[in-house]
Amino acid sequence: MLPLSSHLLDGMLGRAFALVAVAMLSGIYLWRYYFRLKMPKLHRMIGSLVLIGLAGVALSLNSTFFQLADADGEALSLAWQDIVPLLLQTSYGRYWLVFSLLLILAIRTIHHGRWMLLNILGMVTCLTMNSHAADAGNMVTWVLHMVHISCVLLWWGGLVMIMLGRFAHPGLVEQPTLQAFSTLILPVFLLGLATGGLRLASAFFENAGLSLVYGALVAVKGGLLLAVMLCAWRLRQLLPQIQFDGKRYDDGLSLEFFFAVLLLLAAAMLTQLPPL
Amino acid sequence: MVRLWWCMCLIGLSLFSSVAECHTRLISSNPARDQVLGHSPGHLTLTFSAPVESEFSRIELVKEKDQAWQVLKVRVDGKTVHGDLPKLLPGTYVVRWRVLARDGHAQRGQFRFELR
Repeated sequence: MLPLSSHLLDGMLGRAFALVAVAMLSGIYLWRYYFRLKMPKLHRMIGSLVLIGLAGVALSLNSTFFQLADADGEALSLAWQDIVPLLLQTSYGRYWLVFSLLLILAIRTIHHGRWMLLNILGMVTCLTMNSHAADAGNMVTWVLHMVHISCVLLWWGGLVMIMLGRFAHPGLVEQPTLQAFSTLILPVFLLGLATGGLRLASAFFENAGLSLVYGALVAVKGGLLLAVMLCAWRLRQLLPQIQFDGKRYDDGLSLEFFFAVLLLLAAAMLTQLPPL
Repeated sequence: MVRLWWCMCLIGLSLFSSVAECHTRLISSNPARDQVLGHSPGHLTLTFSAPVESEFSRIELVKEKDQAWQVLKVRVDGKTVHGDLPKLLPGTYVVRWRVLARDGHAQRGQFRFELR
């Protein structure tokens, strides 16, 4: 089988953009309906998230389209109008289409907690069904994948919202909220790790060995995950102190966010690489 | 120490979770790669590790040293792609294929078989 290495970057960025959009919507849900915090400039934020998500869809479809064109060689031609059947006549395209509609719908559902939650779950389902997990063709893998990315996105989105609150609106997110977030997000993060582990266990028997590039990226992802966990552990130590040092906390938060962004990019890149 | 150990195990497991995200690959074909046949097969079958999209699945055939690739009529049935073959004359044939996996990744490949 010939390797298809082109358009890795747009495929990776497309998936990362879509994940960021859903993660931040999850963070907004937490913020509004769990912590009951006010959110300045909400509509502007939602609008930008919708644009980021749609850009992700466009990049992903673009990546697939050009992969097909590359695969065609000289004799099998692919025309621009083939983007329509790609969108409408493949399950991959249809899930991106539904994802886009749900994303636009988020502008309305933001004011209704239950509908917003359903909207987010719908988008997570679409992201599952047009990912590698769809290949497995069994319900257990789909559910594991959904739980895994839901947990990861909730953690990521919550972290972004805490960052925004601390740096853009001083005084909005204080020690009790940080403590509550920390308490909520620890089991969520651990569930994300555990479901990731279970997905490995189910698939490891099917794949013997890894390619050098893939293995190296897995190692990088591991390092980043460890760095995130060390930062989070340090932040948890700072929280219960009576004389809460906000400056030190914010520095640690920035560092954790930096590693979290790199982790997201590494994970998105792994979805584009063949492991063998 | 025990807690730290479990944490490290969990991290290690989750690190490799992307292994689960394997690309669809060709498992087998009929005729098989480099197979020598005694008679013209009626059709060609490609079996993949996961279901593929029926749209954009293509199989082409050329007799070695000929120029024109012949596009086969294909039918997708889950993980299997069938291509109808015309009556073949003795010689070496090259098959090239392209499929679109449900995760949006295009895969391609080629192989030969011989008819005596």
